[in-house]
Amino acid sequence: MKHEISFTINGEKVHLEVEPNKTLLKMIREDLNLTGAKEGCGAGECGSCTIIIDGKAVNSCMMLAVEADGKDIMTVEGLAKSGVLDPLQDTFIKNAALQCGYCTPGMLMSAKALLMRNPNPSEDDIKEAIGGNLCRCTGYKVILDAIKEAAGQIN
Amino acid sequence: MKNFEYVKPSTMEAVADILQQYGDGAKILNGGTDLLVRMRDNLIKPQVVVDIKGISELRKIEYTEEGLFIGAAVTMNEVICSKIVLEKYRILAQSAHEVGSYQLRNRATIVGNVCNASPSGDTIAPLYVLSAKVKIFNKDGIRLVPIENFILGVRKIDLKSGEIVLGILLPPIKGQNGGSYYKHARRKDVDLATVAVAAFCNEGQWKIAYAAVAPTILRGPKAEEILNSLSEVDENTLIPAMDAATSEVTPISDVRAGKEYRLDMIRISLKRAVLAALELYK
Repeated sequence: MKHEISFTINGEKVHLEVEPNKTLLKMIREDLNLTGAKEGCGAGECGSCTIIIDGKAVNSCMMLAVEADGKDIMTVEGLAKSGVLDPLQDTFIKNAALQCGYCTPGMLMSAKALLMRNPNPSEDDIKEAIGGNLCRCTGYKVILDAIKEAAGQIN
Repeated sequence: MKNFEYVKPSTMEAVADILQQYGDGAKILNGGTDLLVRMRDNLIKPQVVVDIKGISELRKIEYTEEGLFIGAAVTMNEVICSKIVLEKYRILAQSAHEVGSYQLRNRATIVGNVCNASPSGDTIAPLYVLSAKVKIFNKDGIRLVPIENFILGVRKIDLKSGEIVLGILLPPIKGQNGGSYYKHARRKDVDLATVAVAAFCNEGQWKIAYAAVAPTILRGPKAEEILNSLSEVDENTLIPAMDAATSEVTPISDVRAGKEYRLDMIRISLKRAVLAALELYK
């Protein structure tokens, strides 16, 4: 039986009917055509599906779409406002903090959630925040640099 | 993932009714970080999934004269950031911090970790040494079961048809105490324990629990007895306790490590957990 759900995503109100066995990630990608969040492992180990719900970073592959009812969701598509990139997006580009780009939307959302709760994180805070986001290209150093720069710690 | 019926009751009675009606065909959805992975891999195919996050009493974390109650739907990150946990039951926050990743801990719960009853569940060994009790609801009333009796085997727990865990109760701790959880794993985040040890000392009396070295978490009575008999615990005097640890666990070889390696590492983990607990003893 399908369930009717309502939620906000990137500031927009959405009303949808979803099957119970659909993950939130699948709904976002296939019903809403927001393909930034990726499925890597599908089991909470790689973080490429990370989005922000009610201000908190979560793995959207391990959540049912029906659980999104009443929630406020932000995906990587919601970072840039009126064509202006989020500071994190700017510093990721400037520091070349991505290569293949598959982990990047999840990495950005974990970093965004961190800066939302702690605008001045230590290096350990940053490592904790992105510890669940695997990147197989960069070696993480440039990602740490990009997040520090977005937090205004280096120029 | 096979399709199922999704329900989100707002009372414990309604949950109990559904569990009674569907038996094994009903699964509780809490943080979902274990359940959805197992459903995705078709290891379990529930008829009905019961989301318990709509029940407000399960979201409670409160300290009374009975001790600290942590409701079933309280997340790992809520426990890690709880002032009362950090002040009185620090070892639990420390072990919760070892689970998965930051975003996973925004969903995963302590009670979920307990009910999943994995031999390597990070928060379970600390609950053993804190003498935690599991508070269980059924329509006839509430029962409290010591965690050591609640966990019966790999993914086996003492829940009867129609029963659901309300939360965990940690008894008050009086006097000097200190505890630490040492997890030995291949990487810092998103990994399961190869072996782990929880060590807790209260007024000179030690409690030790081992993880990932038997079908359930194990208490370490021999190591405890040796530690309790020492006039001073330090890295030299505790060597017999390390040897005792090796003798009271029964690890297997699997993808994460061989049996011999686990036996070696349980010695070292015991030492590190005990010494770290001493540093915090006050």
